[in-house]
Amino acid sequence: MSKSILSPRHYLDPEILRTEQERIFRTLWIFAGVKQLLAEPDAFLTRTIGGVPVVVQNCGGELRAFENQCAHRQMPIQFEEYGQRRLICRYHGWVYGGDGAIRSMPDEDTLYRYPKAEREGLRLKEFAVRAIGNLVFVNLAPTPLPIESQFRPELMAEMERMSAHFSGETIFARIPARYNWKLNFENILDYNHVPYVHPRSFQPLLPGGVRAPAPTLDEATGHAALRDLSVSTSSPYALAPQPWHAMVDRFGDVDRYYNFYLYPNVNFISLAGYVFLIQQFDPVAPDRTDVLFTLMTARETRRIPALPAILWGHMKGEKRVLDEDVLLIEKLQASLNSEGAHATHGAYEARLVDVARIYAGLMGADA
Amino acid sequence: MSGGLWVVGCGRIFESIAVSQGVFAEDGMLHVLRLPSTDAIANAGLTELPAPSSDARVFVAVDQSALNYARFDLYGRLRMNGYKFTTMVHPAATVDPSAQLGENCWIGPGALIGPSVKIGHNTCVGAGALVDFGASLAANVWVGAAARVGADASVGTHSVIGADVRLGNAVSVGRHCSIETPGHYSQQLPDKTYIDPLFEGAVHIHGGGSQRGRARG
Repeated sequence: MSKSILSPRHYLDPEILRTEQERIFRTLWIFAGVKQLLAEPDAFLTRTIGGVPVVVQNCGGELRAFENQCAHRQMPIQFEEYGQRRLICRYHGWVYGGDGAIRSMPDEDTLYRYPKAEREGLRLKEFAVRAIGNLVFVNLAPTPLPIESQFRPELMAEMERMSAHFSGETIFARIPARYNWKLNFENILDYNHVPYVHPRSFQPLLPGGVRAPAPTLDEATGHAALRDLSVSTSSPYALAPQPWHAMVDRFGDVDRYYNFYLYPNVNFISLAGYVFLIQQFDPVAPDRTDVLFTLMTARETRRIPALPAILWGHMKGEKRVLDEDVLLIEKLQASLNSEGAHATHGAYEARLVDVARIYAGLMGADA
Repeated sequence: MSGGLWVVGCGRIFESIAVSQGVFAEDGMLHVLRLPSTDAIANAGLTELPAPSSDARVFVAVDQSALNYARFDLYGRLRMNGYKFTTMVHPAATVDPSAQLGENCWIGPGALIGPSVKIGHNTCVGAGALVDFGASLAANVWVGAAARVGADASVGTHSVIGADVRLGNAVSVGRHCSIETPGHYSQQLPDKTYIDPLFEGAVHIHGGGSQRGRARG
């Protein structure tokens, strides 16, 4: 048993969130979206990461990440969450190339007349981008940490193998919730909540319960390091067969519930290799989180006319399960006060203790 | 038994027909074949139905489920087997003579179908709904009770306009959409857009080929 090193203030204080945005979300590799929707020329996705608007764009077959803000008046270049469109600002028609430099600005000589040096400095700020299979990550740091420092190579290989089975048709939802983002990541690590919070929805699908991931420790220190926070596990899954299962290339050949915990804010799961769901907990305010759902089936081996109905049906089912969590976590958040007690972790919550310790290290003296 | 009208399905439309058979019977011959649920459609034997070559007509009565694919699966299967279909208009509904209705359509009690309206095959319009002048509903659509589809509005195939949803005039709703949150809608909806009380904002499907109404440039 141990008291958490995190106090209620870590879930309430706007200053803490500002530091998290800087030292976690603008420092680590953050999931941005799925690559299979970026296959076409000028296909793009947009996200806000660490408070920064980001666009990931297919530029001549290569994925590039930029600040999604025109150098002129800071208008977003792309508006939609996913789409296909050149890097052209809708406000005054500035056109950007795949390197982020300005290709043209209408009436430049008559309206703008920037000095040469200033003109050359006008470009989109570029960020590092890295795809692990179909999972696209962006790093906003000027000198990004090697992605291997955040995810072990074996885990990345697993993510690559599984995400290779993603269908090209993907359903996306943004779900506002009234709690701190960390509570949701802690919730998915806390497998012991499942029988109490999801007794009729999720629990019956897991005849053996959720299996806890085996502990991984840094070879040098004997303690968990940053890259040990992201792990995978799988548990037996009570699959209900559907006719469309015969029409897709599933991942694996066993009925298991695959579960990836990707620090800092992603839970990537698969239902028996037929359905894939990426849940991301995107901080909006100390007590506000957008839960982002990206859901797809395994890739089709033949056309499935009803695929939109299948995706929509699964999305609603997953949302109902999430609502069971949200109901409780919002109560938890609402009950927090700055002078309140710290959480008391039991032995099964060793991973939560590790997460808090690494988090405190990332936050530095401001933790 | 061979001729007459055969109503096959389950759910509210099916039961409303079953309990008032005399209203709908053609020459007094209306037969009902009740399925236990939409889940049973895929494996339903349907051996009680007469041969497709008979003079029997069939009506598939299945409510909205899975963007109308449950009803479409049964309708499509029977159609492939050569059955002929009828469209059922409740006696308390009003259909303008200039409106065009496809086969296996249901027009519920109190519904009003205006002039020059076009309705594709296998589409259901619920009780008290209004489909206004010049509007078009594609095949396999569902318009819920008391919904309104404005003049010259259009609804794409396999879409759902839920109960008490009001589409403004000339509004276009794409294919495979679902609007289940009651209210007035005046903007067009791209293909594969979902508006549901379960979600605060619209949910979208991306990818999977051409999608009408999506921003491109």
